[in-house]
Amino acid sequence: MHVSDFDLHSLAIRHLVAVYAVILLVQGGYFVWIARNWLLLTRTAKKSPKPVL
Amino acid sequence: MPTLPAHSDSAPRNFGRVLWLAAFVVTLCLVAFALRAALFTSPTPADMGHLGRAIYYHVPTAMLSFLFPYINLAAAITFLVLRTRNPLSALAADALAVAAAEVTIVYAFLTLVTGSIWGRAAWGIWWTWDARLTLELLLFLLYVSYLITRRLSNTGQTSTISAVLAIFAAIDIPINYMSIRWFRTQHPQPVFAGGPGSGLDPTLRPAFYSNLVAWLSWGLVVLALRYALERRRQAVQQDLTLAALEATLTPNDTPNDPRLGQESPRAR
Repeated sequence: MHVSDFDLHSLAIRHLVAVYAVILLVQGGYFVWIARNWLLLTRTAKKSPKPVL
Repeated sequence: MPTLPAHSDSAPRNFGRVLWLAAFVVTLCLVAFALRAALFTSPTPADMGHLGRAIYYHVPTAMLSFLFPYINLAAAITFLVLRTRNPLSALAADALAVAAAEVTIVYAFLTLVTGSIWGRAAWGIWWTWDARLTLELLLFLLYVSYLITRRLSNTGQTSTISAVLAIFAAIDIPINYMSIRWFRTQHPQPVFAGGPGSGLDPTLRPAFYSNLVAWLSWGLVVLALRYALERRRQAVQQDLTLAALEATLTPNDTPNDPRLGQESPRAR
């Protein structure tokens, strides 16, 4: 089957959209996960009793 | 028991925060510039069309998935050397090792996924048990196992066991790097240091290097944030442990009680 230039172009564009969606989701998701844990830890630190020792 | 130093001076902390914020903003600008270069302003590679733009996202990601394991390795060795001599510095090295392992997993995962999407478009298959692909998968799995070991081990030797594992895991990197030189693979031949005929077209270099620098900068910022988070977790964990110890003491036991030995640094 002959694949036209348009099909190849469309395939490449879809591929780029998929790739950058994954990159931004993973990198952004990891950053958000760190920020969330930071906030949770700050809350834990405020609630927990401070040692005298 | 050695204790983590408590922050008491707010001026250096504020300066540190401003510095982190500046690094974060600069990194975001670099990433935005790199994305624009990779998708819009850079020339389309002549041989593969838009599919050739993999050089702008896949190759930098793969290169960085080889860099962060070495930070993990250096931190793991530092931990093993200092764990008895200087436990506080060893704890800091351990925190850096965890952070570097996680960033390695992120970059190795992205290398595998972006390579797989590219392979589907270019080769018609998502995956093949090619030496380079398999060794990159092994790299990813080794660092996942590193984190699982840390999570599940409760022997009190968790950091030591995982530091030894980190040394073994790092052996994968040079073999992975050389795999496309040693073996005949379906994976494209090396762009850099691949012998005669290899090298990057000069017109593609600005976009490639801007992407490499941007994602390196992002990786370092995330590494620093994850390191800070781990140090904070260590401090909170230590406070909780000390508070639990205090709760077991009788009312007559005071910080200066001779039975407790020398006075704690926190009581001063």
